[in-house]
Amino acid sequence: MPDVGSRSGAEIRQAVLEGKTVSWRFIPDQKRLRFTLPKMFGGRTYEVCLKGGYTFRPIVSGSAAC
Amino acid sequence: MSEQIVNFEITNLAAEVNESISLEWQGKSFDSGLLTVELDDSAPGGANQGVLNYSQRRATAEFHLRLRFPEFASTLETLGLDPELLRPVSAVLHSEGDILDDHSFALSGRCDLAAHPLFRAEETKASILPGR
Repeated sequence: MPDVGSRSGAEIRQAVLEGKTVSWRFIPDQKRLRFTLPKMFGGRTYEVCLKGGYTFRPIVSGSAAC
Repeated sequence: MSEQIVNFEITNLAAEVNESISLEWQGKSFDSGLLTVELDDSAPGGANQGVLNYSQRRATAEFHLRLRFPEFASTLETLGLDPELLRPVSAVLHSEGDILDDHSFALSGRCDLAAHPLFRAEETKASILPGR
């Protein structure tokens, strides 16, 4: 989910279009990561929640970090 | 910049798993402790980028990640394991999903794992499940 307080989706989109950095947080009780261990560690598969988030920075023409 | 297509750079990702993951090692069972996921800042230029396609309401993103079991690695190190074997697992997450009304994403996708001496890519799997 967006980590931007009470801003609406339209407001976040506008911020993105203006080249502003936006962050999102994982919903902490959603099972988001499926992970299968190698056999040497038992080989089990887990579905677990992720706590944390990520940040996107729009690439504005002329300032691309490519 | 087109208002329908926005390219972006992923500048940060930091997450952790607090749930118990049981790892077996030489006949014994260990609690993994914390699993951390972070962005691999050393990824080559052009990595850690994505596209927002507003006309299709779809997002794609390629995350270059490092996964660590710091507590389990510490346990193995005390048992005499070579620290080189305990380095982070590098992974590339190829994700895509809908852009939702609140501008969250339903991103999901598989991870390609790099070669690792313990978490061998042919046996170890990781993927991100759909969510917000």
